[in-house]
Amino acid sequence: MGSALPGWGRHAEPSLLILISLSDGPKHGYAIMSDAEAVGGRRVGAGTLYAALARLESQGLIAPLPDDGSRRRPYRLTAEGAASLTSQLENLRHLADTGLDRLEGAPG
Amino acid sequence: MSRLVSLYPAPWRARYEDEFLAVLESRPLTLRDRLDVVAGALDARWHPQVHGPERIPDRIGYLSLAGFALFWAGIGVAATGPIRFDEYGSYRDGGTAVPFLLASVVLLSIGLARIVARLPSTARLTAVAGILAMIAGPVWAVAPWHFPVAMVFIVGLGCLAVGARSAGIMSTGAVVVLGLGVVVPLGLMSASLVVPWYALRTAEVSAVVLIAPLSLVWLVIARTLLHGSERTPVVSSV
Repeated sequence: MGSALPGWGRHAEPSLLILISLSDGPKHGYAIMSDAEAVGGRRVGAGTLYAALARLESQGLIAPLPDDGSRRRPYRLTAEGAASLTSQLENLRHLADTGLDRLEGAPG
Repeated sequence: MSRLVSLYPAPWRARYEDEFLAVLESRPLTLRDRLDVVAGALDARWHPQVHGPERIPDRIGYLSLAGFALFWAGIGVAATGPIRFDEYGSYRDGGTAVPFLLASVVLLSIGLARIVARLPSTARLTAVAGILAMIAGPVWAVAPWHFPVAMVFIVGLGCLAVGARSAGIMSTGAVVVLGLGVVVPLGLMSASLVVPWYALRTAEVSAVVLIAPLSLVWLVIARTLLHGSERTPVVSSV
């Protein structure tokens, strides 16, 4: 996960949750937050959410949909965002596979 | 809630404020949520992801910084001046500091003139207040015992700061710091006249407690000028 978003520190995990949340279609801030909490299993504050969201947008990994005058602006995953998400999830899968393999092969 | 959001930098608010408020309003905020917003605001200031329009720094701000240095040089000279004796006893002669203080206030006035020049044409009263402060400042430096001149300088400076804030030239923080720089010395000076607070009447304590905050004025003006103004978009004609 860290290799896909180098130097993002504590914003890396919320960013990954946002990318996952947007992977099945555009969502606005509150929907992303609720989804991220459901996927991540813990409360995500609005400050944390928008710190990560601003980073993702500035890096071109997500993009806002055209303004329709509503206060709830939806975001979508860009092609770069989808590639970054794929890379991060593959890293995580490799990490999980390695850990599980070693556990299965461990004596006792 | 909007007070919390005001902690974010202006470019960030211009981009995200509406939707961010919509998210904040969508559920009751816990103390942890509020702290999270404060942390987000600090993050947005330390690691800005949203940048405002390009700004052009006004190099005249360096003159205000030079004025700050001259101001403190003057205080140093005054505090180490020779001891004189007269029929009333002894006193420290700070007369040699006057050129330093005068030069520092003149440099400050040049900075104030630049801020006045950036005011919109509708802010006439603010401009007049600024011009009065520009004139009263150097006069006060030469004749510091003239309290009315000091008041014209201080009130003019305050009006200019508030007007410049309204015109978007000065930040709220800058106005607050400038206000503290003026109000703290004035308040303590007034208190020392009423309350028998003799410690404040000694030259050394006065220099530090009364005059040190005043030097913030030079820093605020320098910061305002060096922070610059937004670059006006240039439309090329083909």
